[in-house]
Amino acid sequence: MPYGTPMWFRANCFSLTLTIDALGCYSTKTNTFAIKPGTLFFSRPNMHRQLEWQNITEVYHLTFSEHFLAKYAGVALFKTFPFLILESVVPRLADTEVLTDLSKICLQIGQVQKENSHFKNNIIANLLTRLLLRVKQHFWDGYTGPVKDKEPDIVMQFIKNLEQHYQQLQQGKATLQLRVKDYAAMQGVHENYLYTVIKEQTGKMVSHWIAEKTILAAQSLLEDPSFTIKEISYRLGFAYVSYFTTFFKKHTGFTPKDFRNKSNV
Amino acid sequence: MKPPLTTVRKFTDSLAFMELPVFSYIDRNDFAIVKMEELGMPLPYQTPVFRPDHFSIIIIPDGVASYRVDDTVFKLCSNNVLFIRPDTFLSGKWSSLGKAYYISFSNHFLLHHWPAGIDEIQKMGSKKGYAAWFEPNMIENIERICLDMYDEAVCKTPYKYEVIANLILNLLLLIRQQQYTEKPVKAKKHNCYVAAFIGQMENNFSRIISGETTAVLRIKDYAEMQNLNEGYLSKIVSNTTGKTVNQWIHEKLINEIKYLLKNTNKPMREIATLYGFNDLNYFYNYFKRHTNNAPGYFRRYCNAIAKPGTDYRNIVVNV
Repeated sequence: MPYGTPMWFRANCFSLTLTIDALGCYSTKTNTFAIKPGTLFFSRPNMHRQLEWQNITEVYHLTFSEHFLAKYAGVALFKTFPFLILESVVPRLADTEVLTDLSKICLQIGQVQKENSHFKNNIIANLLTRLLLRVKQHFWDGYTGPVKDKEPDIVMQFIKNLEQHYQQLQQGKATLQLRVKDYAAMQGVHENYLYTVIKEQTGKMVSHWIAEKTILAAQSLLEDPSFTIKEISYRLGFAYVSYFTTFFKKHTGFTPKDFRNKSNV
Repeated sequence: MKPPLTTVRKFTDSLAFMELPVFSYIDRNDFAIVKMEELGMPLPYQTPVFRPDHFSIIIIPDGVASYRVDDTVFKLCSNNVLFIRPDTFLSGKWSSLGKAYYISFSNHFLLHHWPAGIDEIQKMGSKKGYAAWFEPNMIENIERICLDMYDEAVCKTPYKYEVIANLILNLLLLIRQQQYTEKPVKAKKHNCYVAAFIGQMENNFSRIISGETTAVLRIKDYAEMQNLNEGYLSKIVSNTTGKTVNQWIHEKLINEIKYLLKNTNKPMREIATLYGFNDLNYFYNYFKRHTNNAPGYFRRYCNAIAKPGTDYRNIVVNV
């Protein structure tokens, strides 16, 4: 102490940090926040961020992936908790009552994790969902998106569009997979510009974002035994099943069938 | 001795029927949580027989009761939890009550506020009731969930029903954790059609009992409800369950009639008309064909062997 993370590190999952008693500083590419007792902040996968701690007495840090919540609690992250993706810190300090409430859930999660039961993951996912619901209840009642500033946030808007599109695909409301060009057109910017901004701010190419999302959607559809692989590939906008299989294998190392068998065991 | 059979299906209606207080925070029919000790039931208390359209979870940190779900009697004491599916004949008898919670919620409630929860219910298996015994420290945990749910139910916070649904799922998970030590097998594709068929069939019989309809639905109707081909439905039902659709329906119908013969004093003619038998002779023949006994003989036989003061001849489960 004091301890700082290396410059701009990125994690591959969501994280949520609840500060009961600690001081420090949290910065993203665009903003810097002071960490005081009662601060609650989070990060999404592949977000550049930096953390510095002056002292730590009581802090809870949770990391989880979108897939974990979808598999064990059936949560559509973007639909139910949009703030996780679009914000990085709660708008105000939490008061003591809320803090004790939230930290109680964190402690419970810690307790369940030590147990050895077949339903461990389901219960953790359930508790995590409750934690997020409480956060939503206390801080983001009626939330739809970040407050608009003058310059529209291209990255946020892109992620939002992406999420919405994949939700529609999964529900079968859309049949065509959107391409980089379409996402650029949705925001009224040029393809190349969108490409540069996304690559610069997130460190990933647009096509990577799209591919990752496709895999995630495919995985969650595969876990539902009521869809055939053919149906899934059409639903996600692939014209040929063989193309879907190749694509899936390239990104995950498994064929869709293997994945389904594995997740059913 | 036989508790009367009612046609009431909704939870609030059943409270009103028993002339128990319906608290103002119970403002909807598809979810309610009640602290039973606040109801002020005179003990011992015997409830009438209901045919609820909702799921029920009864949590007893302190108390003794016996609940009857169809033909199974659950003897409950302190630290027990009972989960009951809808569309069953349900009656309860409380002999002592220190602290207990009654949670009722409908399929519709979950579907509306937490769609993913429906899968969780499916995984509870097909038994009508589940009873579980918990360690004292676990029951404390469960009680905390109940109190959280109660707090949530009485106040008006945003997203309260989502939180409640989440808490209900937590309870179900804990019950399942207690029930199975092994990981359950995942559902096959066809099972959802079969489960839906069984659910619809049970619902049909509940509606008959409550007098909403007299038509016993046929395979054609069930196939139509799910937009399936008749042949396809009958094939998957008999393949996955080993019983044909008609066998399911006849068996259910006979069981319902038997229940009424055994547990009520309804005249034979009334029972026959209830299920749409216009000809009493046909009803006798039908019953005799499927059970090898005439209905009158069956009723007399049941009454004769029922000793006064016992829970008739039911399967008794000690938790």
